[in-house]
Amino acid sequence: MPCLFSAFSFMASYARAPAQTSSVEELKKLQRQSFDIVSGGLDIDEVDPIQAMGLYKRGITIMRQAVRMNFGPNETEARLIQDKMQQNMEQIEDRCRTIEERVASR
Amino acid sequence: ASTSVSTPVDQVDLLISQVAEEHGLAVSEQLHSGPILKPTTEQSVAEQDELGERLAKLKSKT
Repeated sequence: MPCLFSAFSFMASYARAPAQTSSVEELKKLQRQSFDIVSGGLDIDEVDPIQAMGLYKRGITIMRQAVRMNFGPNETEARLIQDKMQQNMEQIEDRCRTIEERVASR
Repeated sequence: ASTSVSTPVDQVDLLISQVAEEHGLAVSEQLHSGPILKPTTEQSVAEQDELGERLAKLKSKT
């Protein structure tokens, strides 16, 4: 079963690969950037949802980058920020879907 | 005849302190704003909480 073996060895090497750790400051910077952008979207959501969606999508791009950052097991603060960003990102994606559906049904 | 040239010391001091105070305030304002300050974890968490609340409110409204 060469295929299964190679798949297994690939997984094993992936698990062994040292995860590159990021700095919490960098995470906070991305958090702030995305916060400013998404807040701007929320400010205009009810008057101009299409433009708001543009801002949401820009925010999501930055948030996705932030939640993918790797941190060591002791970086609990970073994980807390990432968890909250992940939750909000899902809500923003949900909001984008709602706007898209509304626009499509016009 | 002697001419009164008394320097209004009190007024000068007051002026200096006013200028210093204005300068001090301007400096402290610069210190408290601007991009030099890094956000604390509490700020980052609070900002995300704020986003979460606003998104939830928007969802319940529309």
